[in-house]
Amino acid sequence: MGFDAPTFGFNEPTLTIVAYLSYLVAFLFFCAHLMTRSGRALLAPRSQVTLAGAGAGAGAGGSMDVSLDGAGEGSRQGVSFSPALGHIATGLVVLAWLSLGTGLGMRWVHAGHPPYVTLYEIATVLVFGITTVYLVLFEAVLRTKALGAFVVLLIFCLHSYAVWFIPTDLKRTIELVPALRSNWLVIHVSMAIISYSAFAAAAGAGLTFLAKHHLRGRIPAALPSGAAIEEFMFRAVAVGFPFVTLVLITGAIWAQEAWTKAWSWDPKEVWALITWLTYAAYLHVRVQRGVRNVTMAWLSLIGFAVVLFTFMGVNYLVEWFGLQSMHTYSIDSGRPPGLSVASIGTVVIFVVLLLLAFISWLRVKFPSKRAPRE
Amino acid sequence: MSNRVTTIPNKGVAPRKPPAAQSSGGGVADAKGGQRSDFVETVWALCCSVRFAVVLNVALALAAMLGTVIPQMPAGIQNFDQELKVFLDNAQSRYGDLSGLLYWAGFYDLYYSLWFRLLVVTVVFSIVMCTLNRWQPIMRQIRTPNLRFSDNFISGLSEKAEFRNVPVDLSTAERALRGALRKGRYRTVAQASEDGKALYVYADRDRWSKLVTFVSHGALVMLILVWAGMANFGWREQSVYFYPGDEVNVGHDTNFSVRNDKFWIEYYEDGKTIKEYKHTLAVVEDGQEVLTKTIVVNDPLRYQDINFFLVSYQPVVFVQATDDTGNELEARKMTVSGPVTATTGTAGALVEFNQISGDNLPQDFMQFPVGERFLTLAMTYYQDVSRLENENPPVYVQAFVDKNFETPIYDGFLPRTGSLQLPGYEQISFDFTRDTATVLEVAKDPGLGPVGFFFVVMTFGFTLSLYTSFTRCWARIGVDEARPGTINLLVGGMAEKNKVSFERDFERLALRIKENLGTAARQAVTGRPSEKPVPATEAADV
Repeated sequence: MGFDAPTFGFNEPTLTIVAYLSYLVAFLFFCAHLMTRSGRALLAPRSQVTLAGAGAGAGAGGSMDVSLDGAGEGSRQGVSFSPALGHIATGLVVLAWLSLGTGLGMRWVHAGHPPYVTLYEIATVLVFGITTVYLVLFEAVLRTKALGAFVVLLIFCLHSYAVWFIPTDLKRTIELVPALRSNWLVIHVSMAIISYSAFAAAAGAGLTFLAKHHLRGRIPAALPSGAAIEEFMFRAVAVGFPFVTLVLITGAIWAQEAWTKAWSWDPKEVWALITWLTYAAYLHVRVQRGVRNVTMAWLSLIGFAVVLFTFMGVNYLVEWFGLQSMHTYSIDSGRPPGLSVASIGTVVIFVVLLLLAFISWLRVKFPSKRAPRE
Repeated sequence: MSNRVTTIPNKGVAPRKPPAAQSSGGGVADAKGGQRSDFVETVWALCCSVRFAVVLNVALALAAMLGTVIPQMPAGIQNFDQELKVFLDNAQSRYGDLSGLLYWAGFYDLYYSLWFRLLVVTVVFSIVMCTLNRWQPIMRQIRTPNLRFSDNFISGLSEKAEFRNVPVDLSTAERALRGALRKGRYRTVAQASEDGKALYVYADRDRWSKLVTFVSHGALVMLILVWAGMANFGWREQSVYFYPGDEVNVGHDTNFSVRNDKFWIEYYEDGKTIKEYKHTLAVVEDGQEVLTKTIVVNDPLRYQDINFFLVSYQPVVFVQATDDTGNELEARKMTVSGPVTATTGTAGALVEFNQISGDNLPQDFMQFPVGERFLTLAMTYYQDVSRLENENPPVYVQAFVDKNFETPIYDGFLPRTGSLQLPGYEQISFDFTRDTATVLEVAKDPGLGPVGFFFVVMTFGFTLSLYTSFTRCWARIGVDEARPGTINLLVGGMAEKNKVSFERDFERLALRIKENLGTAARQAVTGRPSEKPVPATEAADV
């Protein structure tokens, strides 16, 4: 790594390394968090409140028995290391989020424009965005740590792509070309980052669902029910979908200003539309057909593949199929970075290997027994 | 809020599915009379089904994807035989014999092809049919309270709570329950059973959220229609060539013209990276300058609803020949020949200016009589050859003293400094000056106003339908036969979306019911102290 970055005690490369390692360690802690959760606590119903004798005043004595029933995470009973491990993992994610955010902020100040221009910047901002969505939506709003392992794994893979696969000289900040000198840059790209980050978080939930569904052992047993994971996945998509609609709107307005036409079937526009259509299909399949199973998990992963292609893959169309696009990422040499089948292939192989390694490790470590699934 | 209480026979309460489970495509077939065959009905029902809409949606996505894999013809290329041939030759080398078929099937102009448009029309049709088809079931669902249900139905709901042996009477319990529901923004309807020993309560919330889908889908359809319709309004002039100092009439029944005042390029501090292309335009009306504006890529000139976009620029050289008395003999503007190609995508510029290739150099020639003979100059402007700002432009000149390029007298670049001297014609001086012509795109369109409106409505609708949820609760309050003076209360609920938050919401509701019941029980105890306390040993068994 190496950047043209300003330094004041600590600099952007250091912050990036801190974030990168934090993600890795956080992933391990999330795994440990899941594995140390008490099975007994998990199998107990959420809150079996039995309040016999309560309610009547002054000992005079009416009695009322109340029971509340519902599907959900098990309450934690007994002594367990699990909560502490979970808190450490979340702390590490927050640390990664802070250092990455500081690094991006420094880059923004240094370059004088938001870090939305080169492929390296876009990939890093996406990593930052997914972390934000994870912390805000899953940890703060939905109050679950169950998805941590898989979402952070996804983040780690993406950050690896940014850190290792983009050549050092393409990590420099560059000046904005005339067409990007517009306030719409901040608005349009921010919308894209938010929606694509939410879709990535949904894909992390999809991975979790698949792990729950296909694996046996302690980790799947420690996960919440499939229906709950599916609900988390939907909540992430529900964040992403309005924003991807806004991406299309703001893009059209900007294109009207800079390219003379609101819509000109540029490959990037078309792929943003395909993303929109994919998640529209996801929502209709879920809401209308009531499908709440492994199909939804696969749809969220397919959707994220489409998102990744929209985000980074459109550049490759230019090379593979001789297409022209006005949406390639800026670099001086005129060719998008890492523009080869080899490099994207490496990334794909890297991600697949990581996943396979993780899954097979789980299988070896925790051979299948009669672990409860839901 | 309705407080209607009617009596229904207790025996008649049968387990029934919640209305949400009703098929959305069911209502059509029975309305169509018995003449139709099953097949037609099946097909019709399929066309109106959400499944079909999702399939079409995916088909549209795949078709759009194809257009990003197969290179598309640049817009308007059909009008240029030469360019069309080049494009088709390239396609031929890429796809071989398949190329002809692809061209015929419109795959090179996919987004404007007949079949793609048909697909879009089908999608719109399907959305309209699906949406209309859902109107009746949805209205039935939100209008008719579902009061006929069994205990099994409540037990089957995802969220439920049971309160047993509560020492209050039926109407007190009803008040407690309804109060709790009201606090949770529910409207409630209750029905007593015939024997008066049980009470059925239905409550729902956010009924309107079921209607949002009509708003968002309606806006989507309007958006597509308006967008398609807008293509027929306004006009567009691509590649308007604009020489420095020229004033052109805009035409199209307008009463003003536009003058090219200045074009320049601004650089960043490094002096190499282009920061901004700047172009000063003046609007002239009846010979009066009414407006001057410097436009950049992201900020076009807009006057009388007509937009002037800076699309490209072209280096030009002005050549002027004068004799020793100062009379102008001839003047030429040298520019690139051939049509200006539109945007190309390299180096990340959104609007990319023309790269002039070796075989597309600005070339021109000029001829004029000098005494008995003709002087002919063939000139080529080599932009890549570097020259300083105060030197002559890098123009390669071949001069002949006839009309047919036969008798050369000069062959070489212009001298770096000083005037071009042709042997035998020293009295004629040539003046070469560099300048830049701009290329504008001039367009009048209705703008994004109406489209933007529907876009915003649609986004708002989507957001609402994702974040609000039609929520219902059902409760049965029954007199406990085994213990006179107490009641059992079973309450359950479901939300159509956002089940995780409903879980918490329902927990709050249950706690509120418990509180209300507790308060009521305390009042009952203090009000009637003679009543025997009920033993608290038997726990609920759910």
